[in-house]
Amino acid sequence: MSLLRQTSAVWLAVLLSMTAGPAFAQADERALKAAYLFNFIQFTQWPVPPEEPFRLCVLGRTPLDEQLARLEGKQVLNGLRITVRHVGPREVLSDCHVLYVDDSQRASADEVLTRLAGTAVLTITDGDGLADKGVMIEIHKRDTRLGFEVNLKVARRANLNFSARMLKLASYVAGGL
Amino acid sequence: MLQYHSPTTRLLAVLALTLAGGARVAAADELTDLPLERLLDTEVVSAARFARQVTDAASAVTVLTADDIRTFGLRTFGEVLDQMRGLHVSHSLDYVFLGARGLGGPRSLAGRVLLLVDGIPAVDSLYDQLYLGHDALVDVNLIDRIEYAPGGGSAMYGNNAFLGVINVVTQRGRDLGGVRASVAVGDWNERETRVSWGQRLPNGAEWLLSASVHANNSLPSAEIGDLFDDSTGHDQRVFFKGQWEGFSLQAMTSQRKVLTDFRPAWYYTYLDRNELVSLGHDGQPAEHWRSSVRLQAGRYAYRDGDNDSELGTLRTAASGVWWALESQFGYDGLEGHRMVLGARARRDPVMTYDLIDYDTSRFRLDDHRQSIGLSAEDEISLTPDWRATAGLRADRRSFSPWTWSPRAAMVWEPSPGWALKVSQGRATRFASANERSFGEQPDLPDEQVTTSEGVAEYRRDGFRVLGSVYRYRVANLVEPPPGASQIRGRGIELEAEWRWRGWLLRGSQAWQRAAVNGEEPLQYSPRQVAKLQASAPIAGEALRASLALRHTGEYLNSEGRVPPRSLLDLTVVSRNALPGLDLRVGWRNLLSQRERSIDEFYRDPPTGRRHRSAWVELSGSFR
Repeated sequence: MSLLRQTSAVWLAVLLSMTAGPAFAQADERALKAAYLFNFIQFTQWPVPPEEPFRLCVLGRTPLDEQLARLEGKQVLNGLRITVRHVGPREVLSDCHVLYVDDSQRASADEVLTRLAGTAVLTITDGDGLADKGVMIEIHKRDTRLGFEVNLKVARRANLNFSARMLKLASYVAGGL
Repeated sequence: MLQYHSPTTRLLAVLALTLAGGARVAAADELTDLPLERLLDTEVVSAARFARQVTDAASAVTVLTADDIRTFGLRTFGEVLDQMRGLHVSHSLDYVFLGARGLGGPRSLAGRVLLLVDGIPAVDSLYDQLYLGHDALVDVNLIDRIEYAPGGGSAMYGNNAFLGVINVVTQRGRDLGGVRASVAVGDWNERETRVSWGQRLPNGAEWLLSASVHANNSLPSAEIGDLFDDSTGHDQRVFFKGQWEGFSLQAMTSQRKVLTDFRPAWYYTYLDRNELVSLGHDGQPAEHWRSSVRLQAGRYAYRDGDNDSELGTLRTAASGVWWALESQFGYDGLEGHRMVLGARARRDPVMTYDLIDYDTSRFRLDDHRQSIGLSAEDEISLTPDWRATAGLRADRRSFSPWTWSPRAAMVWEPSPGWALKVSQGRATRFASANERSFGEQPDLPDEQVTTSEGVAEYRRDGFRVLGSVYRYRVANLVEPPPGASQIRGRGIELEAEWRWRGWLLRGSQAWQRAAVNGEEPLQYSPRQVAKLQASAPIAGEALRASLALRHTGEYLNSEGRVPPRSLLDLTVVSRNALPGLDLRVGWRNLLSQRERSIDEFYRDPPTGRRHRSAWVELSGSFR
């Protein structure tokens, strides 16, 4: 019997298992990334407590813009309202509380990170390998789930602290413990 | 009893389920209220972003990622490349060949595209051949991303980057984070087992080790079907990659052995073995400077034996050993400039060909060579929208004078999402050891190609469209088709891609024409190559179905005309089909189109045979 015939049986079995299968919690990848970003802010302690407006800066134009815009006005850190601002790589970045460096902006990453070194700006990215280069939190995708790693060395140099709960959930902490 | 369903019925079933499916997808506002723990547990519908291009910014690059390879059930390099715009994959009974821009097929101008695995040239040192079937150096499951940059890349990459460069970046220990294993069975006696293990340690050290064994009916591609009852092919692969601080060590080996057995009267075996090792260091010696130094070595062996019960044994053996020291320095301290300087020195101390005749008499050809290459490239930001690239490479090899490979390119981004690119360059290829008959034919020319190209690209959110026009001229042909002094080629390529909530639709069409002396068409040079890929989540990412269509227009081979052919492939991936295990099922050549490219090996008259086939794979990750 040809394998083809056998596989048609497998195929039907797959279909049956699917219709009977559980409903999964599903999310759009961009929406989920924005939600992560929002959560990271809640778990971060700045050396000088941020004041209103809480500036969430986004480097350049990114595929996440639409989702990030929805964070505008949301409250973080006991009542501070978020203001979303788009910035260019050469603009003043030190008055941002958070800087999101999208994967699409990785060409400017080196330049921006060099300028920010030691500044208390929480840097977050979804660019693969950018935590190795000095971004504090990198969101990554493994199979069908998102996770994140933390470059604690860089965060400490900028006097930023993360809650133990967040660090425990990170897939990897560089310079931790 | 389960009934056999026609492919069309099954296809309709998939489409119907796809349309009916569509689990509810949560929006950002709802998600921000969830605690981090819940977010980590939420599944995403596959990425809506395009893979970024790392090779040669001025080229019309095609990128495929680990996700594409998995979703479309691509199991050899040949299958991966056959999904890319303008590439045409063909085969003999032993090897898989790549055609790019209308050049390249069995015994016809193959070996003019460079394959780099993490920067290491993965072509053998005697035939300059790419191994794209089950004989490949790297398991495609270890690929993180693969890019094909068409056009002469010699200015940056050196010899063999003649019609294009294929850049493979392999996965890292962190991408596995544990053990991953799989078993597969398929038509044509195919069996495959693979185990990979990778980790990143708290001190930042990272490693990945992988081994796989595979066996089939000896043919290089499932598309040929089943020609010989008495042949078997066995292949093995081992891969290691380790990184710590700036240091990296990489080692890989693969071997494929084929046996055609008509014992007691006669049996024939052949074997290809490739080995590579690379030790490197990447660092920042000073502010604005980046350095990369690599010590690389490789070994290639070919063996065959013709064993006749009456005559005895006829053996051939070809062996090559090489090592190279490569360094690159990047400097970005000058406003608006990014400069890269490179130097490479290489020795090929062993290049031998041995023949031991039936009467045990021996015959040996022996050659060796040295080469050096120097390159410089500067990417200049003229204004925020305009960038120019200028590159020059000089190569010198034993028996050849210095050759120069210049390249210039301009990229203009007139408005967000748009990019217009033009480039012109010359690339060089040295004759292979085999073409030089291992030193017996010392005075072969260095082949040169001049390419001009224009590219327009637009991308916005989940949509991308690209068009490219090119023309090239190959002169000083090393092994010209009879009477040929030059080859001229030209073509137009279009590609579009759309991603939305886990859906993917990608299509490309290439019209190309390559001619000898301006008139005669070349062998293995189809006028049209089209690809279409569609992938849809059915129950979120729990079940995903993907269809791929490959169309190759009519072309000539050594026997005559090969009619146009369209192949349709279906792949279904079911996550957690069994607890903790994923199931993949692949149907190839679903419509059972006839194979006509190797008519010469079929019975007379060569009517061609139908070759639908299937495979099943079960895999699991254990973290």
